[in-house]
Amino acid sequence: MIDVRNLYKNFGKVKVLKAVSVQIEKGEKVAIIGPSGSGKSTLLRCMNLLEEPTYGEVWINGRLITPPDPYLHREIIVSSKTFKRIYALRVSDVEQGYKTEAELTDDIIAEIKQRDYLRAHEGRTYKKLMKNVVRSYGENVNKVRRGIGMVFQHFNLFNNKTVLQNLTLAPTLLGLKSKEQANAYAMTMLRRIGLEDKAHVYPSTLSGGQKQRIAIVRALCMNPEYMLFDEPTSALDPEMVGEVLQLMKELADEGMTMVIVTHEMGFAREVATRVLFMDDGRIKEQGPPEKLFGDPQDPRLKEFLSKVL
Amino acid sequence: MIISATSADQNVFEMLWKDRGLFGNALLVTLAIAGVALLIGLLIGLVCASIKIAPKTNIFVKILDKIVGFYITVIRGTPTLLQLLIVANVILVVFKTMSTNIFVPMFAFGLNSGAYMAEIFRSGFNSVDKGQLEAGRSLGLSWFATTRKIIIPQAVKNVIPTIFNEVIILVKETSVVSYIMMVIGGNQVWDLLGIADKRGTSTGEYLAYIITAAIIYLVVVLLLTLVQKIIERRFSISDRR
Ligand SMILES: Nc1ncnc2c1ncn2[C@@H]1O[C@H](COP(=O)(O)OP(=O)(O)OP(=O)(O)O)[C@@H](O)[C@H]1O
Ligand SMILES: [Mg+2]
Repeated sequence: MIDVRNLYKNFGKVKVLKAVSVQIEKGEKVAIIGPSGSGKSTLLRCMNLLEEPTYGEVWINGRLITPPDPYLHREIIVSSKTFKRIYALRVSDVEQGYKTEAELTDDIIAEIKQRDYLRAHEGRTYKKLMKNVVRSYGENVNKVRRGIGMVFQHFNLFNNKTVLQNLTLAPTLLGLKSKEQANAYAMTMLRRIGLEDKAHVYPSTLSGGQKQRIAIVRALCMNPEYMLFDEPTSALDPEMVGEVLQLMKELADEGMTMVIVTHEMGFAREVATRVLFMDDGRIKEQGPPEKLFGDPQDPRLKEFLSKVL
Repeated sequence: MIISATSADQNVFEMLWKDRGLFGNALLVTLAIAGVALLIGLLIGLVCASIKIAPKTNIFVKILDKIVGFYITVIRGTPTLLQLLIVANVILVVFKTMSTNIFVPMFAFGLNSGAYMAEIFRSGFNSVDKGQLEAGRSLGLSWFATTRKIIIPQAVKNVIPTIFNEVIILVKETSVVSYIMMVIGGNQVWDLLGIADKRGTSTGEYLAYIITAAIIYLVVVLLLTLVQKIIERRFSISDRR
């Protein structure tokens, strides 16, 4: 499962993601739609940590790949110097019977969260608890990324490598496959998309549609559990969109877990099991495609759909 | 008068021809200084540029980054001649010997070109599309592995023309060596210009000797340009359509 918890992302003063939480189960095909600049790519890129969230946590299969976010752990907030200081100031509320101890604690936690009171140095216990989270749940991001394929709008095939080398570089360099195994698997995949004759050419000789299908296959050569797509067809000439969507559809049918940022509403409606609508850094509405496209609730979603459909 | 001038001319060519061995050795000295300096420069440049572009995630990298920045600023901000003098005198102070051997210019020019190479490589790295790094990282490759396998080869390809420019400058700049060595005292490094100067003075045919040196420099530079063309062609296979 991809578990995104209370994610915030700021680029300097620009707040791009605001309290985004989403869980993606194995086998789901999630389409993310929304107007330009709403944070779709940023959310997707946070899922494999190409972008580091400002607050919040990302968990992949029960492993934490971001640093722990203290605001998401009650016991860590309570252990902080800041909490203790505020508690000492307000403890009279308890003594005089205005609040129970639990109520006061809850109030202070809420206030600390809301005001972003925690600082870098919050004392030894705090530090120890943070470290404990990392020790128990933390996972090296490079390792996790092996299981999460990503497909980019601009393909990003390695320009200095042939097609075959593009497909085999990571699996062999990471020691996941022998050279022979990697080559054989890569050739099978190329045959599948009908591009085996392109194995030894450089990416600059390919059409956009060919590049993107090879980029997809490059990710598949790592045998990933999840695939992330960031507008995979937006940079393509219209006549090449179909071949890429077709390959993605096949993947979906084979049961791949997919998260797809897309402007192809038809594709989202057909393939997605769930659609997320993002606007202004938040997930404004989500649901099965029939519901989201057929009976949208959010006014911004209605407006968006009226423009794109 | 005219006859004697003609015979003097013949003498000049004979004289130059007789000194061909000296010129040959001097050419080797020049090429050795430039060559070793180039290797040192490339190495320093690559390392410094890598530090400059590395993600500044820990204090160690941050400190290295500051050191590299300081080094580049100092080298680019002071005359090469002065740097050569400083290196020679540092050796004098540290090893208590007047070192006028060939290692001084090799090291000094290497240190000097390292700073320029660092800037060249850095712009080379920056000229590689950011998506290349992201693609590597998204496959689970480390920053280092992606940089080594994907970014550096493309960066190197992009900077070949600028590197060769720097190499040509380097070859020519080594000509200050013998002058400097004379300033320091007791020249033992006879590079092209040095030998032309020495023999020209002692034979009284100064102009002929330095023009000969100029022609040899020119030929070397033309050969380097040829090598550049060949290398550029080899690197451009991934652009072929
Ligand atoms: N590296 C960055 N530095 C600064 N601002 C950024 C950066 N990346 C994205 N942004 C800003 O964050 C906002 C959201 O960007 P994002 O790419 O996530 O939007 P999007 O929903 O994918 O839009 P589009 O449909 O145009 O791709 C935009 O306003 C963008 O300008
Ligand atoms: Mg985007």
